Amino acid sequence: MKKIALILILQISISALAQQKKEEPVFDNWFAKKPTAPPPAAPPPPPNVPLDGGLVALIAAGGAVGYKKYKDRKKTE
Amino acid sequence: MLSTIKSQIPSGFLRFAIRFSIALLALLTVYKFYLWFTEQKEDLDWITYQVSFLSHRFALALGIADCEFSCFMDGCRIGVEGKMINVLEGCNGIKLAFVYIAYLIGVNENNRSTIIQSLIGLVLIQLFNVFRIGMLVMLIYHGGDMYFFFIKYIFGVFIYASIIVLWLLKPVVDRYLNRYA
Repeated sequence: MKKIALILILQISISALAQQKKEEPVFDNWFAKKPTAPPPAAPPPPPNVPLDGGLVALIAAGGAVGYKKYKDRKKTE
Repeated sequence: MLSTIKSQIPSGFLRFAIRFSIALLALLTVYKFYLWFTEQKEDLDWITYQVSFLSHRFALALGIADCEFSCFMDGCRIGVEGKMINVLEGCNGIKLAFVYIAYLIGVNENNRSTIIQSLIGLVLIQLFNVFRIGMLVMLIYHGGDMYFFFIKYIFGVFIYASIIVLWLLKPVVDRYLNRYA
């Protein structure tokens, strides 16, 4: 009876130890990359304030104003 | 075909178009060389720096007491920490001034008047740009959608429309300069 009890206790303790082993490894893998929290995202760069976005349109407008000027002059002549 | 097109072009326009294009190309080429030269020196160009510096001063005058100003090789940052704007080479407005001056050279009728109007236009465009950047610093500081509305519509439309109005008013300014200057 004592023997059976001892075997039972031993079996329970072995299975408990096995369970524990699954959850917490006895030897940590020191070289493995441990999961860390991601670094905080860098703040967005300040916005640019460009002014030359419509440069081509302005050049075209210059051409149109010049055309109108010379056309009006032709009319007056 | 060619003669039909030629008859549609008003006399003098072709000469204007050539002078306008050559003047613009020459100004932009000189400016590109200047930018290349400052880049070789690992420095920020003088125009962008001055526009940023004056804009910072204007923002301070508008009441943004803790407005910071720092310059790098590619441009300057103006504003309060976390609410800054980046003033790069394309933000200094000099190319718009070049287009304005190229038009004046294109329709050149009086050298003295062209020089005076070019200088006045250049100063006016730069002053408006300083005002614009100073206002944008203030708008981004106070938050809200006004910043986006002003940068996208108001300032752009105003400066481009002003340049076109100045071109259209050129004969009036010419007459005034011939009479009084």
